[in-house]
Amino acid sequence: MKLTRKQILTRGIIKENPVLILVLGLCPVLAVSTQAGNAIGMGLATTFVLLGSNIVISALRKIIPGRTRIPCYIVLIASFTVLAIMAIEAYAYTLYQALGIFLPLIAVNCIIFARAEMFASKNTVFDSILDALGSGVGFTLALFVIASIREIFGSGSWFGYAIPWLSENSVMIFSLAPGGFIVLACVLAAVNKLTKTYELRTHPGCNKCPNAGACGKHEHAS
Amino acid sequence: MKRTYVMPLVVLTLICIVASAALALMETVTRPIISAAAAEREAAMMSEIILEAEGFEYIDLSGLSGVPQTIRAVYRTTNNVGYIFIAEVSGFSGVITIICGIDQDGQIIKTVPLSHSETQGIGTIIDTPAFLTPFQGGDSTLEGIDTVTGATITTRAFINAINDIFQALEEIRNGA
Repeated sequence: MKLTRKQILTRGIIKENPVLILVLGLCPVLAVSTQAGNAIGMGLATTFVLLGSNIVISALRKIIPGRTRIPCYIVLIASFTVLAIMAIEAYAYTLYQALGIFLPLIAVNCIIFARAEMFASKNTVFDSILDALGSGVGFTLALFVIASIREIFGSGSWFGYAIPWLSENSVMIFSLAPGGFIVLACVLAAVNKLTKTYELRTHPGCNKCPNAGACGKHEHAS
Repeated sequence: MKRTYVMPLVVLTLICIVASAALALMETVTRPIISAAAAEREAAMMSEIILEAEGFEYIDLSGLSGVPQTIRAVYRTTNNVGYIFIAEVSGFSGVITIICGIDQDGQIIKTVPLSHSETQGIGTIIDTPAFLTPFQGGDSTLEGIDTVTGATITTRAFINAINDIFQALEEIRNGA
């Protein structure tokens, strides 16, 4: 199954959304999704690292030896993360403060690693850029949706602007860790229902699996 | 056979060198901006704490052994209004940085948390006037100030920081 460029770009947004379908990178999703503004910032920072690492890894895919590819990827991803951190600390200090420890943790975000290992290491630079943009936007979108729900009900505001009535009657659990799990589960359930990913459980098979393209073993199973 | 061991090492080393060079370059660009902004924030904060202050001078704590480890920096106003203390204590999640102004009589002028990562909606009580106002005018006995139920760890950390600050004040006065 050869993907067109448009498919490479768009599949990460809904069909293979890294958070909502592939269920990757949940640590930042749960931790940073208390405010919509922070979620956008985190999403953009992650997209930048994803883009940088995908470009370099796909450009070096013929040079990086198979045996030491994992340390090579880690060095590259961590370097891009530190670049992003320095830029954010210098030019967007409030965001830097709000994201805290989760900014350095982009280095170990499994979405970035998954894209490097499953896509960038096997495809051209241009395709990898499209793939990174798709996955990055998908991650940002998922984070934004979850953070909006949590901020609106948990803090009674949206992007920091108070919402009448809700701001006086906020439900604090939405802002806390359990609320993060509950909202994430509800959003996952809704997306599963809408995209019919739940059919995977009842009708397993590579054709319906969002990972089939990357896994490359789909011709062996039926 | 030998090549299989040499090549991965060479490539990985080269990647590390290039990555370090890129980081060093970025560091030289952003470091001045970051430290200038940090100094500016601290200066703005200090003059907000002690409004009457004309200027601040840094007090060297290296000769004073009894100053608690939590005290990060102390400044004295140039026109003898009081002192500014910056303290760092462990809260419920991560470090709470506190700034506190104390006048010559040993009374708190004003104290606020500079930065923290406490639980939204619980530990964030230390940002509220309800928690902070009772400190104003208080002395080292901290009378009438108590931890807040539900946010015990965060508020206790804050109060401990204030106690450390008074201990440091005592040391500085004895030493000076």
